[in-house]
Amino acid sequence: MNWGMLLALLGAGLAVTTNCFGSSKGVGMVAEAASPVIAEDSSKFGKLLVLMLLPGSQGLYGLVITILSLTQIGVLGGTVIPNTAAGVARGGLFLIACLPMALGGLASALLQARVALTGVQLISKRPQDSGKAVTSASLVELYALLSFVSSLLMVMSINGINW
Amino acid sequence: MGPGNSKYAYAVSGAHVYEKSFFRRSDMDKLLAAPSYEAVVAMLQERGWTMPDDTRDSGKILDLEISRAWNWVTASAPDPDLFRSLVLRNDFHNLKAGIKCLLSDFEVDQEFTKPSVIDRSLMKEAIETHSFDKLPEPFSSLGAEVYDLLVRTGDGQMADILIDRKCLDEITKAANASGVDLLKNEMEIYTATCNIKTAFRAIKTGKDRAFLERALSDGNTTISRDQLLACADEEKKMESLLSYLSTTSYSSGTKYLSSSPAEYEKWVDDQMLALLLPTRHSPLGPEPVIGFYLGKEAEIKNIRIILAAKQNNLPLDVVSGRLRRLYE
Repeated sequence: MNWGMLLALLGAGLAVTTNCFGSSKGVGMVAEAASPVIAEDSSKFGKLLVLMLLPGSQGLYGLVITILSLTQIGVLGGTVIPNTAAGVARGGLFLIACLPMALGGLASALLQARVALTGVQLISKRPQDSGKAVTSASLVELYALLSFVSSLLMVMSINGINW
Repeated sequence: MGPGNSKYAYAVSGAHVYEKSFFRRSDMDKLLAAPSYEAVVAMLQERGWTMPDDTRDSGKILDLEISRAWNWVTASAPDPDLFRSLVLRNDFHNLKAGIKCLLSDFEVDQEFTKPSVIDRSLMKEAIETHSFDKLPEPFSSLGAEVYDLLVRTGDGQMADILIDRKCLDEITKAANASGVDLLKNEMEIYTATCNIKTAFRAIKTGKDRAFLERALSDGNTTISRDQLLACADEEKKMESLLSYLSTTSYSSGTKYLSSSPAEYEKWVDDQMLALLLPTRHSPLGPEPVIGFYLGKEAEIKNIRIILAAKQNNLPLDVVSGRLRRLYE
């Protein structure tokens, strides 16, 4: 059993799974909340669409981290992690590198959905304030981006470490 | 954001959309200022209220509207059973009214109230055929007991006590089973203030402790049943009751008990509504849906008062003072 490879794949898998879970849950909730508003006034669909899409970005960030990890560990290119003690440590590092995206992305997708839900209510009552609703929900995106950049930098630099 | 709460995304958003058609205080003033009953009905119709064929019967108009709101709650909420404590009292009212109507040779369902948990045709059939076992518990055993009591003794007051007590017990049980704090607190106010009213009336009419023991429900956390019962043992019963109530969270409403029962009812309704407001804008969870339904009830109580005032040419200043706080 190549434990190093297993740990690296676990990290890559977590990055996309947790983010896709958070994004699908978030987008689903906001879309559900938006449907009574659209049923009442279909002209609000455009304004609500932005809010519905916002919690979906984390899924894409997670996918990027996963693909990048796979290109570094010999699945989609790069050097295969050896079945040695150093390989296990390297695999562990990939797992750690994926965690900021896996956890930060999941939390930010769910919390962003919550802000977007209040935005849906705001647009329902005061459509002219849609900009404020989108801006508020976008603030949470910053923390998904920070998680993404952290994971990206770590994944990119692991193979450069001398063992 | 628990997984349970996230199920409410559609219901909460839908409730907020529906609430936009609620009457506000300024709308109530316009309804009050309307020249006639027909003008009020026309304003309700403009707001999207469904009208029965005969608009002269205000009860039918209001029944349709509250049923529409309740049907919306049960269709939109992911777990409609959670909200049953909001309408349980109507089922107990229907059981009581149905049996009394049957024994007085009236149509069994003529005093039925909407909405209800138990289908009204099932309730009617069970009462008409005396087959109370068709109803779920506790209605089956309670119905049989009350029917038997009325046939044997004709003691309407005892029948009322049995049903009202069971009603309050079941509401407390259903609210506690829901696990929703807002619902528990709302129903706590409702049942506690009903118990206070019962204790006050019983002591005022010289009833003894045994009567109170049968009439007062269990399970309140904001008042003590034992303390209320103890008041009946005192020499100065009423002073003792009022003195105890002044130490509870209901002290500000106690003054209305002796001056005006209608004012007391209004005070209770306003207390219940005030409790809804902090969770009104929650993006998820059952609280905004509970707020929506109780808010609709408050609106309907006000419209009922206004329609009755227009039908009976009551003075506007008196009517205005009776209007409940609104969910706004």
